[in-house]
Order: sequence, then structure tokens, then C-alpha cells
Amino acid sequence: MMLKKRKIKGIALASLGVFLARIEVFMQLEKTPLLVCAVLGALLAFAGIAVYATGMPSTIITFKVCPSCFKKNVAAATICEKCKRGL
Amino acid sequence: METLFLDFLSIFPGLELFTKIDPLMSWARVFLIFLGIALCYLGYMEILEPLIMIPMGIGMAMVNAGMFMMPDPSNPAVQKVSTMFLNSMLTDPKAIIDGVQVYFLQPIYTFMFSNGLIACLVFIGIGVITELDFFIANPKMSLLLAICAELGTIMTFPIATAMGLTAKEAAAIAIIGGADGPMVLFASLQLAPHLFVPIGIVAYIYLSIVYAGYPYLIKLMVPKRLCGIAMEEFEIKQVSALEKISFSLIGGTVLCLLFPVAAPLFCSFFLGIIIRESKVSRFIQVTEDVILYGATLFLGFVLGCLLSADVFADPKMFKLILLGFIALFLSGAGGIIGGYIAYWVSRGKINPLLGIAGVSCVPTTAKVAHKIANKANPEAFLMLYAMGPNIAGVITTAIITAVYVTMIPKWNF
Repeated sequence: MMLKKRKIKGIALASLGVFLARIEVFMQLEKTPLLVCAVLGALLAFAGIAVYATGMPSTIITFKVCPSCFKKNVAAATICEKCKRGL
Repeated sequence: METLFLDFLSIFPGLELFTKIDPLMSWARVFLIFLGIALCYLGYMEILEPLIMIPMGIGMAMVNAGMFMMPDPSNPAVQKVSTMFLNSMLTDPKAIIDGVQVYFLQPIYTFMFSNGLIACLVFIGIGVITELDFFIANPKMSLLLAICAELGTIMTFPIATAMGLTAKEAAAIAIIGGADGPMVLFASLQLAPHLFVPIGIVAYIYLSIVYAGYPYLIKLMVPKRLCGIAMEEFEIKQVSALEKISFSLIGGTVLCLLFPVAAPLFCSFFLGIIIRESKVSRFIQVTEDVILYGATLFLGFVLGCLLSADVFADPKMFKLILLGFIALFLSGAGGIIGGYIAYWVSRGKINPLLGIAGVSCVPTTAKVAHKIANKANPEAFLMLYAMGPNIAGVITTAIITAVYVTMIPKWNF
């Protein structure tokens, strides 16, 4: 539930950012305030994407990496799934 | 005797041309033939990136060897120094149609390079090989390192304008600091199409040299005892494929809404990620094996073929070579400074070499960080830690490119 809330907050923040960044579509502004709105809007939108990302449910896993081909293998593996070399 | 020699040369127009053009151009031609052969050899030896250097070197050597006097397709009455490879100056539709019948690489150049399609194809491929897990594992650290590693992209802009380039040209060359080839091509096509060829060539030569050059920068800035810091066992937060697809859709839509000019690049990148996560094995195979490597082959080959002696002799070329170096040097240094910040913040748990991986040359800079750490301490295994900042670097470079491409023409800097 908490995670869902973060996702909604993230989307809302990103939408607000896009609105600010593209405000020239809705109203006429001077060059300087328009630039401020664009920069602020872009930053808000990125923050929104980051907040959304923190709301993604995740599980922590450990794994072994093949030293030859860098393939991610399950922690219990003894040979690499891709190149078949020993881990 | 001299007449006999000239008659003999006339049998071979490529050799005869040496007697007809400016001696400086002749020397440039000879230099580029040998440079092409050297790049091809260094690629074969894996000292430079073989995927780009082998086709680029072949193209560079052969295009400069294969020059001769031929009628200009846009004005057949005029004879000019040219090749049968391609003509990057054709813009008029009729001249392009005529050119397609003359130059063997013209269809690829016109329909893939001059409209930025090649950058988008490479980006779809990069998306397919991008594993978001590494970024999601530690997004704050990855973004910190990636932002620090954009020092060259940001600082080269004022340096280039101070050196007399226009704002658009300066932004196009500054993107080299992001070390992301498709992004450089896209930015130069949008901002300075007249410099697309030299900027593209300078960028790709430097990007290939990164593998050989950055270890020296690391030696200069990071002591050996810090290079060998072995980080803890790798744990990542694994997110379901559906979550990653929804993240890509939302992230991609927001970025396209913010920067519509760069929307084709964002769309291509997130399309690649969604193809990977949707696990449609045939799409994955075709994008990774055919689209990515096919586009990379033609990218290297066409860029090599574009570097003829006349492009090399352009007075702006020296400035571009210098600025490209400054951009990549500053980005590498910025990345290492970011690595030091992460090292101090984590109280010595994070290897500062991770910073260089923030330069988004996927996966070259991650490999460089891994290789040096592993050499200093065989137990130090940085590759997967380095992929996080590497992927964050792609995202930050795309954003900075989008900001330059959107803001600079709009605000008339």
C-alpha cells in the first residue's frame, strides 16, 4: 500500500513537472520566468521518476558473476550458464 | 622521362591524383591511409575497440586511397575530387536520387545517417542489453557518479564558445563528454549538421581510445591501494519484469513530454528495455544480434568512409580534436572525483574507480574500472557494481543532450 502511494506521488510529481516545463503551451511568459519554469519543471519531473522508482516492490537476491563473460548466475551455480566455465 | 612517369601514373587515377591536388591534401591523404590501417590493426589487437575500429579503419584507408577526378552528380559538367563511396553534401532530393545511383554507400548515409536513424537503431540495441536491476540496486550512488561524470559535457560548452564556436556547435562537441556515440551523432545532426562528419569521427575515435586512455587517467588520480578495494558480495534489489516495463513506459513518456525533440532517442532506448523485459526471445535476438551489431558495423564503416582528406584539412577539425579530448578528459576526471565522494561518504567501502564507470560508454568504462581493480587486487570484482553508474550515465547523457537540443535553439544562446 505504502509502495503504491509512492508510485502515485511519483506520477503526480512528474506530471506537475511536465506541466511546469511546458507551461508556454498554456500561457505567455517572459523569457526569464519561462526558463526558470522549464528548469524547475524538468527537475521536478526527474524527482517524480525517482520517487516512482522507489515505490517499485523488490526482493533482494545474491548471485555469482562469471569472471569471463560477466553473466549473472544464481548464487548456488558452479558453472556459468552462458559460457559453461567454472565460477 | 617525366612525361613517361606521368603517363604511367595516368593508368592509375588514384595515384595520378597526387600530382593534381594541393601537396598538403596529398600528405593528409597518405596520413589518413596509414591511420586507417593502424586503427584497423589496433582494433584487431583489441588495444582499441574492435567493433568500431576495424570497419572504420578499413573505410578510412580505402576512401582516401580511392579518390579520383570524377563528374559532380549535381553538376556533371564539373570535374571534382571524389570517390565512389558517398557524398555527404547532397541535400537536394534530385541530387540525392542521382547520387544513389553513383555512390554505393549513399542509400545508407541518406536514409540512416542524415536523419539520425542510425543513432536510434543503436539505442534500441543498447536498451536491449541494459539491465535496469543494476541501476535500481543503488540509484542514488549511480546517479551521483553519473552526474559527476558529466563534468566534460557541461564544462566543454563554455570552453568551446570561448574558442569561437557558436552555441550550437559548442553544444554538439560538448556531448562527446558523455562518451555516448549515438547521442553525439544525434546532437550534432540536430544542432550542427555541417559539423556532423568531423564531430562523429572525432567522437568515435576518442570513444575507442577510452579503453586504452582512461587507465592512464586512473593511474594519475587514484593510488594503487584504493584501486584494489574489494567491495562486499553483490546483492541487488530485483524488480519484476512488469514493474520494469511500467517504469520504462512512465519514464519514457515523461522524458518525451519534456523534450519532444529527443523523443526518437528516448523511445528507442525504452523500446529496447521493454523488448528485453517482455522476454520475446526472437525480438531480443534480432535486436541484439542483427540491429545493434548491424548498425554498429555500418556506423564504423560509414564514419571511416566520411573521413576523406578534405574533411581532415578543415580548419575547424583541430579545434574539434582538442575539444573532444578536453570533454572526455574532464568527464573522466569528474567521474573519479565522484568516486572519491562516494568513497568518503561510504567511509572507504566504495571503490573510487567506480566513478569512471559513470562515463556512459557502455560497457567500456565499466570494463576499465573492473580491469584495473582486478589487476590491483584479484579479489576485487567491480564489473556489476560499475554497471549501475554506467546505465545511469546513459540516462544523464540523454537528458543533457535533450536539454541542449531543446534549449539552445529556443533561447538563442
